[in-house]
Amino acid sequence: MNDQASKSERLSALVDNETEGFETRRLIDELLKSEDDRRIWARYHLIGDSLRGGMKRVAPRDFLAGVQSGIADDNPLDVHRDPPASGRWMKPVAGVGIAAAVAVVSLLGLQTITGTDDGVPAATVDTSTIQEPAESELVTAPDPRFARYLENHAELVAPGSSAFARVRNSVDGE
Amino acid sequence: MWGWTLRVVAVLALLLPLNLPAEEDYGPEEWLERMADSMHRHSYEGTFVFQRGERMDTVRVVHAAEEDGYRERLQTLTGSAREVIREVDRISAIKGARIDGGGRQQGGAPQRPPAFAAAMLRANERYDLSSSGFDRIAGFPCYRLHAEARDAYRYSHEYCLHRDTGLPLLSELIDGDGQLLERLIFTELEFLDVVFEESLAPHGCDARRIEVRAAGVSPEQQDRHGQWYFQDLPPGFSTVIVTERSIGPEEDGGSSLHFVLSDGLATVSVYVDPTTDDKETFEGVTRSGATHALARPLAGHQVTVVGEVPVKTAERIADAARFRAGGIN
Repeated sequence: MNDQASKSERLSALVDNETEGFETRRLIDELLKSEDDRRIWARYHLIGDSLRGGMKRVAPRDFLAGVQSGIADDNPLDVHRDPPASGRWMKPVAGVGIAAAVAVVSLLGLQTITGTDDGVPAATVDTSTIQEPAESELVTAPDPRFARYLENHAELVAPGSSAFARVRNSVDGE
Repeated sequence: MWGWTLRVVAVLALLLPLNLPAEEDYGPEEWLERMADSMHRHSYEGTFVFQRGERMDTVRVVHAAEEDGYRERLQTLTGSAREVIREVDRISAIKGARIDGGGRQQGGAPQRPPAFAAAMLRANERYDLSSSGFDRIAGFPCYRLHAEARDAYRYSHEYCLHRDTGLPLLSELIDGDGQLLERLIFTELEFLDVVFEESLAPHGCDARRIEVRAAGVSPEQQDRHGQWYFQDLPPGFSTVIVTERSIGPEEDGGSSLHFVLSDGLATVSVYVDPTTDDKETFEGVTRSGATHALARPLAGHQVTVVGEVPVKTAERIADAARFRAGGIN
């Protein structure tokens, strides 16, 4: 119990940038080994974001596990909804290579494929968490060819933009 | 005693560059320029968290600034293990496209990353720049810089720039409703005087190598470029780079005509690929975090727009694309 309390305090300190270099690296190593620790660590981040007002939506408690399983998930068509007849933006793709597209795009994956009649996306759907879309929302699978362009564009964008983090995955599975 | 102290103070006064501005004296535009330069000037190693919607990932980065560009190694610390070794050319030092480690051509990189152009920002006046002063991230003091979009064609940006180097320790994209779309924040950072080759070497055998190199443009390519232009782009956006890039597997052959458009902060790529069969084309829109991608066929070509902009901006850019078979007369 005390050990866990101590670990929680150290993880909290890590989130608050209050750990020194050696301790930081040790904690990160421990994070890599322990799913429970990662869950605590993620929860502290969310708490901090919420307190600072930066978190606009509440993430599910198991979202980190969802990230892991979602990226590896080869059946992202779970998010598929029947496209309405007025699908101005959507041209449904006949289920080819969708899993590859999700795996290919980047570390963070193709997150969402949504649109509305006015062309403005209303919500997000990703492979790890599925939100209930608004009635007016169109959801369909992306054409896997999008992935190459997203990748290429991400390579172009430099640090300073958050696209910096779009570390792409191998295209071997493409 | 006093005499010795005064002499020391006098000597120090002569040595200190009092006429140079302190960080506190820089304005928001100077800070943007410092940010743009930071990736070429400073080497560092650190860990950042990338939050996008409800997802959060942690990435370890080693960044080595070199005379002709920079190299970096990125490795995920959460979720599936991934690793990328990335080399970016600073100027056009190589003619023609190179072959990267994976056998794909990666020609046609920008000579200068276009995402930051204080001059464009000044000319466009599409963002209101402001600052709330200094903050602290990853143990370092940093300058809060807010670039608020003046219209709905772009997102707002929030940065916290390392006081001494301008490196963005925090980078956020915020939509018109104030919703956070993406956030990158360093949780740990160490600036390096020396970067050892070993730390830039891949740790796993499946590490991905990306080379971004400037390439020369052949007369044939110039003709191709001249066949395309934009009319009635969203306000503030203009073409900053036209080049060709290979997209996709090598066996696909060919290359895409690649336009890079920018308003000074936002960057949009427009890819144009010739098609010979309707089945080759596709259309639709997709989204990855704050990045929207839109594809549609146009004049026997596939036009794909990708950028960290609202979907209506991507749509308007696609609408603005024009083809003239004869090229520039």
